[in-house]
Formats: sequence, C-alpha cells, structure tokens
Amino acid sequence: MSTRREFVRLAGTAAAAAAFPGRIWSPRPPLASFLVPMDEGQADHLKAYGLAFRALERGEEGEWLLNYRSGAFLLPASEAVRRDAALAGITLEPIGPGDVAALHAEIERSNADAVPLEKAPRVAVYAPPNAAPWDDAVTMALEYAGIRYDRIWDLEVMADRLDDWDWLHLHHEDFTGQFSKFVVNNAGAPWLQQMIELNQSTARQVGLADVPALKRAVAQRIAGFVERGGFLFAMCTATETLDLALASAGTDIAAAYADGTPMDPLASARMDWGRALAFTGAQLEQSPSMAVFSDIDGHQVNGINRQPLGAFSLFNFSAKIDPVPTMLVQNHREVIPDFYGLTTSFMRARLKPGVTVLADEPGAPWTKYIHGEHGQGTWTFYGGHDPEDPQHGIGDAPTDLSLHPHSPGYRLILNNVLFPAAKKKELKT
Amino acid sequence: MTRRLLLLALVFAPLPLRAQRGTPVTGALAIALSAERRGDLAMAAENFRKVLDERPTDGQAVLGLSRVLPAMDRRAELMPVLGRAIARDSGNIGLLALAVRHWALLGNQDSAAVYVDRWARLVEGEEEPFREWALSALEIRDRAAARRALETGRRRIAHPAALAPELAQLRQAEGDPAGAVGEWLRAVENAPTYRASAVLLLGAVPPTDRPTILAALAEAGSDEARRLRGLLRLKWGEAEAGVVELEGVMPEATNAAVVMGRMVLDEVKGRRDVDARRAEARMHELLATRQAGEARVRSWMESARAWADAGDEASARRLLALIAADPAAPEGVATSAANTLLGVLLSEGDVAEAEALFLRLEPGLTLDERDRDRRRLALAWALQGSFARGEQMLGTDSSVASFDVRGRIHALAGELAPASEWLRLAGPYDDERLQAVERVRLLALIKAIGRDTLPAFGAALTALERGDTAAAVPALVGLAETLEPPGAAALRLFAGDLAVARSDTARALVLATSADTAAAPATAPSARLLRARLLAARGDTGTATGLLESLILDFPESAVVPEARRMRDVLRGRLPNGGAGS
Repeated sequence: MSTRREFVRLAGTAAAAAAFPGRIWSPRPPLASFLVPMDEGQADHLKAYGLAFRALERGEEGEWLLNYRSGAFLLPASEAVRRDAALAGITLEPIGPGDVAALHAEIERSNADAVPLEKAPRVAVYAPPNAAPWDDAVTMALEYAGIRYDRIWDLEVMADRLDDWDWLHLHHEDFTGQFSKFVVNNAGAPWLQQMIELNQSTARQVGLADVPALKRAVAQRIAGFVERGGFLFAMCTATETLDLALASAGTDIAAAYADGTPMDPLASARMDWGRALAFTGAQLEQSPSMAVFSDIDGHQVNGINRQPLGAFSLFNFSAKIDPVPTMLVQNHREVIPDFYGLTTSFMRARLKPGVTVLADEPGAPWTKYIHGEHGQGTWTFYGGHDPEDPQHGIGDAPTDLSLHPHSPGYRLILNNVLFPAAKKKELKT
Repeated sequence: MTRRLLLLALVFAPLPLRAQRGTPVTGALAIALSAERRGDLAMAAENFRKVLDERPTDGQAVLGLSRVLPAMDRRAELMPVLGRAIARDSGNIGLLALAVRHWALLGNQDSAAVYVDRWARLVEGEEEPFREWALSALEIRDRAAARRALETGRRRIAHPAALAPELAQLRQAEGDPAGAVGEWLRAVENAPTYRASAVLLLGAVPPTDRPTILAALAEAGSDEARRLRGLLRLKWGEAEAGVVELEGVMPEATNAAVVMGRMVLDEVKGRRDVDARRAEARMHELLATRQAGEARVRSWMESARAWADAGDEASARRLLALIAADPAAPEGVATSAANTLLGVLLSEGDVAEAEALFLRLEPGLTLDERDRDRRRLALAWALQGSFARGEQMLGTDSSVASFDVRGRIHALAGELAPASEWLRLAGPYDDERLQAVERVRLLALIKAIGRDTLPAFGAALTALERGDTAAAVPALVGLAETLEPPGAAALRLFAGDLAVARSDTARALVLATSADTAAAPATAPSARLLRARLLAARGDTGTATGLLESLILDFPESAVVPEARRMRDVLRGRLPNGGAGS
C-alpha cells in the first residue's frame, strides 16, 4: 500500500510539469489497440469498467483517456480483451498504431489526458455477512461489471486487516450504531432483529460494551486506513454516520435502545469535528425515532423537512491539472437525476474547507458528490442509495442493472473503483 | 405510546389551561421551559423543582421534570417528586401513570406494581394501567415484567380475553407461536374486529412457524379458529384451500360475512394464477348466497368469470345459466354473461351452439365485438376441420387480426403457401404482443419447412391448438425426420419448447441438442439457448455457461445474444435471480 498514495501526490507534480514545455511522462510507443468508447457509442458503459479491470488483472496494461470520448479506455488488441468484450457485449473499436499516435496528439492539444492503468486494485466491500449483493449499489455495480472484490466486516476491520486492500467501500452502514434508527418504527421486523442480534454479538465478540462503541472503533480504523494511504468510497448513510462516529469520540450520540443510555442532549456542542473527514459543525437529530442523523443531509428523506429530488450536475475539471477529480467525474452525461438515500446529499455549509465538490444541484444549498484527502489517502462520498431506484424502500425488488447498462449514476461509482488503478510511475524519479 | 401521551395530555390539560388564563407562565416555570428549549437541562430541572416545591402537583412542572431528568440519566430523582405529588393528589390518574411508567423504566417492577394497583382501583375493569406497565417494561426489553403486568391485569379484570392482543404479541415475540394463537383466539372470539390484526401479525411469522400455528388452530377447532386458519392459509399462498376452510364458517351476520369476503378478495387481488382465480370464484359464489337481486347477479357474474379464467368451464356455465334465468339481471350483466358463455362454449368445442348464441347476440354487438367473435368462431370451426366454414365466418373483415386468423386456418389445413402469405400480410405487430410473437414464430417455422403443402404439419398444429401437446410433440418429431435439415431443426426446437411446457425436460434437452446443428444456422442459436436454460435448471451451470459463451461468440449477430448474455450474468451471480429471463 506504500505506493498507492503516490499517484495522487505525483499527479500534482504532473500538473506542474504540464505547464512547462516537454512532458516528464510520455505515453507508451503506439501499438495496435482496442479503443473502448465511453460516449453514446458504447453498448454497455458499466461492463466496460469490468473489461478494463480484468485486463489489468491479467497483467495487461491500458490507458484511461480522461475527457476523451467521455472517458474512453485504450486497451491492448489482445485476443483475451476481444473475447471478453464480445461475451459481455461491450463496444470495441480496433485502431492501428497510427491512429493511437493521432489520438495521443489530440489529447495533448485539448483538455484531456491519458492516464496509464497498470495494476488492478484490491477491492474490499465492508458489508454484513448476511447482506445480499443486491442490497447495495456498489456491490451491484461490481457484480454487474464483473469486478472481483472481497467482503469484509467488523471482525476483519477490528483485526486490523484493512491494509490488505487498496480500495474500501462502505455498505450503507450506520456508524452511530443505531441500526439506521429503524428500531422504533420497525420494532419486531425479523430483518431488524437479525441486524441487531448480529451487531450485538459482534460487539461482544470483540469485547466492546455495545454496538455504538463497536461502530466507533470500526470508524476510527477506517479513518486510519485512509490516513495510511487507502482509497475510501462511501454512499448513502455511511458517509454521514462515519463522520458522526469519528467526531463523537467521548460523546454519547446513540439512542437508549442502542447503548442503554439516551443521547447526550448537548452532543452537538461536544462533537470534535477535527477528527471527521468531510463535515463540520453539524447539529445532531435528537429524536430516537426519526431516521435522520443530523443536518448534514440536505434532503432529510425521513424528516419533517423532506426536500424533493432534482438533478445534479457534474463539475468540469482540467484533466492535466486536476486528474483525480477529472477521473471521478468521467461520464457521458453531465446532468443526472437525483436519488434518495437515508443520506441523500451534503449541505454545502457543513463541508470542511478543502473538500472538493464533484457534483451539486445548481441553485440548491446541497452537494451530491464530494472528494477529499486525509493523511496519505483519499475519500469520496456519494449521497443516495441507488442511482436507478430514486425512492428505494426497505424490501424493494433489487435493481436489475442489465436494464440500465448506460446508467450515468452508476458510472460515478465505477470511476472510483478504477481510480486507484491509475498510476504515473514515471514521475517517481 | 400515542395512547399514553393522549391520556397524559387529557389528564393534565386543565392545569396548563388554568395557568394560561389566570397566571401566565412566569417565574421559575418560564425559566425552566426556556432552559429546556435551549438544551440547558440542568437549569430546566432546577427550576421545574422550584415550581414543584411551591405546587407539588403542578402538571407542567411534573411533565417537564419527567422529560429532562431521564435525558440527563437522572430518572431516579423523579420518583420522590412523583411520590410527593401523588400523596397530595392520590386520585390523579396522570400522576399515577407517570409513576408506573418511570418505575417500570427504572426496572423497579414491584414499585410499578404498587402504583398500577392504585390506578386500577380508580378505573376498575380497565386494561390501561396494566398495558402502560407492560409497554414500559418492554421499552427496556424486560419481557418477564411485561408478562407479569399483563397476567396480573387479566387476573384482576377477571375476564379471559383481557389484554389478549398484548399477550398474543408478547408470546409471538417470545417465540411461542402456539401460545400466540391461543391469545389471538381469545381476543377475536371476544371482539371479532381483532381478526384482521391477528391475521396480519400471525401471517408475518417465519415460514418455519407456520405449521405450528396451523396445527394449533386445527386443534382449537372452533369456528373462529377455522376462520383464522382459512385466512392464514390464504395469506400463505394456499388460496383455494383457505377459502374451502372458510366455506362452512362464514359469519352469520351478512355484513360480517361481506367484510370477510372482501378480506379474501383483497388477498388474491393481483394474482392471476389458477389457484387464486378458483379461490376468487368460490368466494364470489359464497357471497352471492348472502345477497339478493342485482348484487347477487353481479357476484355470480364475477364468479363465472373467475371460474372460466381458471379453466373450469362447467362451473362457469352453471353460474351463467343462473344469471340467464334471473329476471333481476340487468341488461349489461346479461350481455356480459352471454359473452362469457360464448367463450365457455368455444373452449368446450361446442362451436355450433356457440355460433347460434352469437347470431342471437349479434344485433346488440358493436362492429368491433362482432368481428372479434366472428374470428373466435372462425378459428373454432377450423379446429374442428371445417376450414371453409371458418374462412366464411370471417366475411369481409380486412383487419390485421383477420389476416392472422386466415393464415392460421390455412396452416391448420396444412396449406403452407397461403398461410405464409396471410401471416406475412398480418405483419409483426399486434395489439396483443403474445399474438404477434406467436405469428412471427409460426411464419419462421413455415419458412424453415420450405414446403407449399404439408397436411401432417397442419394436423400437429391442430392437436397443439386443442391443447393436446402429448400428441403434438411426437407428431412434430416424426415429421422432422422427413424434412431437410433447416426445417427438421426448426420443428425439433419447436417440439423441444412444447416438451418444456409439459415439464418433459429430458426430452426437451434431446430435441434442443439435435436442433443445435451447423446445418441449420438460423435455428442453432435459439436451440443452444434452450439447451443452456435446461442445463441451468438442472443445476449444471458450468456447462450452461459454456454453451452461452459459445452462442455469443459463434453467432454474435443473433437476436438471442442479448438474452444469452443476460442468462450468463445470472448464472455467474452478476444479476439478481428474479430478473433472469431464464
């Protein structure tokens, strides 16, 4: 994991280098290749990420062409790539060495960049052992694209095994340990009982008094993973509650049903936001029965101030100066319909200084998709639960991604998975 | 909880109102309320106490203190304050309710019991004190205390059904489904309005507990037990069996019977399977026995439709005859009954009687209805071998649907050249998607056979249209032996699909494999897809996935490739199973 963070750091050097004549890094000598277009000409955008990922797993190398044909990939013209694409129904365009050189020249002249993809990251998804892949947008995207991942949960985290992976996604977990605050309104539901029993037994297993204590300890280890250079991606309520758990060290922010004591009535004032990754100054929701955690979320789907869904716009970044945010927003659509989650969006007023906003709803006080650094690593938070099921409810049928192969909302997730594969080793000198 | 809050609000309502009119909220009380709003709970508590030092039973102050002390984890300090207030006003139910709740939440159930006793003396025969105690105990997950509260209440009230719904839910939560059944029976036999709750909550038990519940209800044997049993079986997917259980135990009162009937019909609403349709038919017929005049005719009509949809033509005819003979039947219902009867007669193959009925109805039909029924009759005549009479029935109808029927009539006659012409004229679109798909498939089959006439094919199709797939499959297989490879493969694949419909998967696999040949490239992709589907259903996902991959790579332009990709994803766990097209 020691070199993972290097790309992000060195990308800044690359930006500086790009401002001067003559690049420090230059593309590989042109060879016959397959161009994987990611604009409207692609038959299955989501599976295309899996194609690139599997090529890297086989030891093949490629390039991610930022801002070129909506974030196209350039892969070697191998039989394995051709077969894989044919089976998955992914559009490939064979191009000769001359075309590759022309393509690179065009990229050089425009707001685009070619980022080498060299090694498939080791991907972990933090999810309860009894969660189906269809419970979570990221696992659905990984499954559909055919990207290999490991499933881990509290025991692996508490055993300090996080450094075995490069990229970690957080299932829509409630890190305040309040079972997503479903306890009062869903009392007696078998799935809730199962969730409570599983979490409580895990807390006992690791010698912690209750679930809020367990989740806080897990959150702290996850923050440590990022600090040491890990890539963290979280959606929905995992974003907000991770920061609440981190900022609440020493303060009781959990309802009595979770830890036997009510939430500290002055908890909001006692939070230490210096420990959080993304947010600051939030007011916590005191009601134990309202499935709302704080005023970080702009939409408050279960609150009395629930806001209607709009659409969010992706920001444009300079590919050569800001390659990281550029990677994260590669898409064939700039405006994407919004979707609810327990945490749908992030109020701009609650973001820490230095957080990069990748997408927001124009005119609204909230943002949708944010990114930042913590120590040697990075985190990306994406609000909402399922980009293709805007009003997802408990027990709803799972989304069938074969019906949404061009989903721009899901593309954002997969940009994050491939982001750690991008490296500029040439800059290490 | 809501009920408890309401109770407290009612009990304390006069106090704040009096304060507002006579003495505005000032002094310590105002400071306390303001501090509470600011979140300064310590100051709020201090000032609520000051108010209570002067007026120990002040409602706003007691309630305020009972809010802020628990929030500071100092609930125990509330109890002496409540004790002092009750000593001053021992008949105040609100104060007693607070004492019960907070003693129970503190885990001191003996003290809670003392105040429950005092409260119960004031409201003899009421369940509320015991319910309050039990619910408070459940808040701290003390099921034993909750049980003690409820059982004490039942003894005290001396009624076997007292607090039965609460005890039922407690038993269910304790994993005692049989005990829950006993309590629900007490509750429902005492007050039938609890029936819906009983079905809802018992209906939600894990599937493993269902046999225990059904056995407990069978053992109880009362009418109410049979009703619950019937409704639960219905809820758990045994629709007709559930209604059969209900048949002998419908409530005496018509209104109650109708309410139960509606419960049943709501449960099967949206289900189109035969079991649900039969249940619906039985329930409508049952409801009709409690009705008269037009309402009864409408129930018969609904029942007849449901029987016909379920394929029980005899039952449908029986009810339609009742409608026809009932002078109370409104004109619209009578026409609808006649139309349904026409469909039943055609299903039974009684074409001559169906045509006679049609001729009687014809003057009252719209042009579209007339054409639709003529087409149904035309196809029915053709299935009887009267092809000319069938064509004659179509008259001058020049709609797409009539071209389709003419094509089918010629196909049934084995006249493949004109069949192909008419089907081609009908085109690939139709109001009914299934109809269009079937037409295109028949056209493709005829094209693959490549003959102008083939009476044996017409005979096999006729057997199929009559629903006799057992005869159709060997006829098609035998015919395939006489044809060139493309036609032979197409017929074998067609027969394979029919074998699947008959659940004869072994034969289907043999037929699909023989149809998957390089000599019939137009049929091979579909045949390979069917092979993969059959192997996957058998659990051989490895071979199935291999076949799908070879299909995708060998026939990249085939129309079945998207379906093959999708099935491959499902087999590899990349897509949820429910979304599988397989």
